[in-house]
Amino acid sequence: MRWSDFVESLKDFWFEYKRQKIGMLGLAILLFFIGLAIVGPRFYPAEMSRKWRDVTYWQNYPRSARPSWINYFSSHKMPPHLIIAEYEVSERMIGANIREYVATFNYDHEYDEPPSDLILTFRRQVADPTKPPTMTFVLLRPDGREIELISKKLSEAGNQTRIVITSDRGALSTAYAFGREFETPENLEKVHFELTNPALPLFSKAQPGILLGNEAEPLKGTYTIRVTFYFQNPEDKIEDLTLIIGGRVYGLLGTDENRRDLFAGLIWGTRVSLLIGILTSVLSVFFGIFYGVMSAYLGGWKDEILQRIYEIMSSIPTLPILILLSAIYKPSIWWIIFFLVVFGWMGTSRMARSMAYQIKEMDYVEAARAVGASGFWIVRKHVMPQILPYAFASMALSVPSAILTEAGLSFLGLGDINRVTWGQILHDAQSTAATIKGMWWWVLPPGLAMALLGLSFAFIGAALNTILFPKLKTL
Amino acid sequence: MGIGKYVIIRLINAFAVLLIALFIVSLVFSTAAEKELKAQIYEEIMAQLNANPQLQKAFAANATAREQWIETQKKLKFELYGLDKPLFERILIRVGEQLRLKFGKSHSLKSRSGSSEVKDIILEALPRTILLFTTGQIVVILIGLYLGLKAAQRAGSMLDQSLSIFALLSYSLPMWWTGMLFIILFSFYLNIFPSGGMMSVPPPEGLISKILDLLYHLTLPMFTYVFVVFGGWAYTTRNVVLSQLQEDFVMAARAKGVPENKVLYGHVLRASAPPIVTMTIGSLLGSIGGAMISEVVFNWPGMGRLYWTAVIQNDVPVLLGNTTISIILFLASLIVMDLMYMYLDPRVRIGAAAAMGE
Repeated sequence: MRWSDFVESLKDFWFEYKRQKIGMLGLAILLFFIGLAIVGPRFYPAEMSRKWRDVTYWQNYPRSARPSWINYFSSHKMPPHLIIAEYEVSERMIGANIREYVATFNYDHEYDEPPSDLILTFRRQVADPTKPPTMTFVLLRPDGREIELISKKLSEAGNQTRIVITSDRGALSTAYAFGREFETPENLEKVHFELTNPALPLFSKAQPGILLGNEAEPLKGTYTIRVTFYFQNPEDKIEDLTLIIGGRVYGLLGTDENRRDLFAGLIWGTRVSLLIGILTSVLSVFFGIFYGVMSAYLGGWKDEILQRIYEIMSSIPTLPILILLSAIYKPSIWWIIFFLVVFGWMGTSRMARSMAYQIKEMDYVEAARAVGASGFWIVRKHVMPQILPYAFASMALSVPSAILTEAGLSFLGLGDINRVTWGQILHDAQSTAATIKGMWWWVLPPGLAMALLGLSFAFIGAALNTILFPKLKTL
Repeated sequence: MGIGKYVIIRLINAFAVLLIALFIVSLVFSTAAEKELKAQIYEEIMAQLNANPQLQKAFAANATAREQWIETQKKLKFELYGLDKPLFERILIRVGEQLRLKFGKSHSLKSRSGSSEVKDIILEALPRTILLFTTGQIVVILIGLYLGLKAAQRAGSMLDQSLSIFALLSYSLPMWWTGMLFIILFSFYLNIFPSGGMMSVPPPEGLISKILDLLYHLTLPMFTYVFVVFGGWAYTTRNVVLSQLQEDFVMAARAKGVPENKVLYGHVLRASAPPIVTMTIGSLLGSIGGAMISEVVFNWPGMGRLYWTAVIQNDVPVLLGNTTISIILFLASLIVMDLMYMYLDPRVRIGAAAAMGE
């Protein structure tokens, strides 16, 4: 085939394809995912994929936050995630050599739920470890009440400090004691100290119900957080002081129980799924065609042997074997693709073989052979051009199953552990019982993405089939 | 006669495939299983030593004697378990055991009656999978056949178009994920079905309430299965029937004035029977293998979940036994489908017999 013929037939094909609505829809969805896979990593660095299992990497994200956009659809407003690094500073000397350093943060609370976390992070430089600084953390409520939640000596080793006020036992008992004062005795019987979220009494109106999640009324207004350090040494100082007000909504898709940004996972998972789907289907279809055409072309006992191998391969149930192989060898993504190809070429090979057999019997092939054409020449000139269009259709149609099989392996916890995939996100959701907790924002997007991406290829394949087999045309 | 010969050759062929598949599986397993077995042997020897104060006393002063004793014990056990034989022989032995369905004992799992025989464990799990997926498959076939026929009858109609779209949609829908969504929807938000398991804990008293409880737990996973699978079934039926509807004999029947219903249910359905019946039988047999991951999602204690538990516990005998059973079931369904097709389609029957005669 000459190049100009090729371009011409491509143009003809595109003309036909354009008229397939469903094919164009599939192409649009596919382009959307490709765009996501290309553009996404600009905003969500590769580190997020590599450190998906690194708990400390995600520790300053909110836990189990819903997607931000739910606030537009509900009158019950959820607080967003805030990282506040702006504060006012005042310093003064108290006594002979104790310096007081006060950082004051402001936070406007206009939401119907308390924040999920209060986290303070900073780096400290202490000249003399035997004289550590002390600190206090005080919350000033809009109603004028003042609560000292933390008061401690900063004597731990290392200079990076992270204090999660909402999981500090002292802070919890202070907050609980604060709420108790306003609570009725009947309500107090329903409350368990251990199960109380300290943020609830802190950000609720001082009235009965303050300790009950479903009865507490939010206290809206500006809160002031005063963090005070007392240094015993003139060279001591505090750097990078940051207050994190943990949100209950975050980003486009929220976060999971391990505080990971689910949209980042979705984007990086898109890359893996596209890679696996496309590479697996291209490789297995090409191998299948090679195998089928070779089988038809060699004929005789060689064909017989190849057909027996084909039969054995198609008689092995794929999923149990794949699970077995993955469980034993803990494969990387490339090995998974290899396994999928090994168990995925048979369908195409049968089609290629029967087509090649038919073509082989044609008069023009006979004629070509009579004038001395080699087998390779016949395959290249007569067989391949006729088989290739079908190959593209079956490539498109075999993508979804490759994606789903990999997702299934990942879901069982058997995928490549160095990358985040959609199946793994669902695995984590399953293992922390996200379905029973109703965390739809965790379960819905990866599966939907999987189904949509699979669908786009199914649509493209269906459109190709309609062009190739017009008899079954309906859509 | 030709057919009988074909059947026999087909069976021999399947048996050869089974042998090779088992060989491959055993090969894969030899590494994993044996590492584990060796660790187990070592533990056994240590336990033996700890339980015997006389030996301990004798070895207290003499460390080399202790080592020697362990070595001889190890050698004995290796011989007992056949680990002293070369790899190839061990694989053959394993294939033989699997063929005779001697799966051995599980070291971490037990059946409800307390037996740790792999055979008992599998025999307990298999009916549960059949209950869920074979029943579901029957529902799928009934719905699929009905809708497929209707769609083919009115090709291009609303029903046909929406059926085709639904089939395409469900083609790429992972069943287990659909299950997770249904759990969130029906179990968490609507709270009308349990989120998993096969019975309430503790199970209710009395046979009738037990059956009702089982049905209650069965509904959601079965609904999921039917929801994901029936579209594809209906679509395939439609395609088969539609291609028959375009045949000349249909036009001839219509031209003769045969009533449309008779054309559809008499002529077309008979002609479409071979692929459809084959599909039916094949899918029924295939459904015995179940849908592994969906069982995990619904915590349904069938073959799939057993397999998964065995993977997690690294329980090689159970894994091997389960794999063997799935391969046998899979092969059986292929053979039955083949023979069924041959029985129903005279063209294939004669063709196969003729091919044999060559």
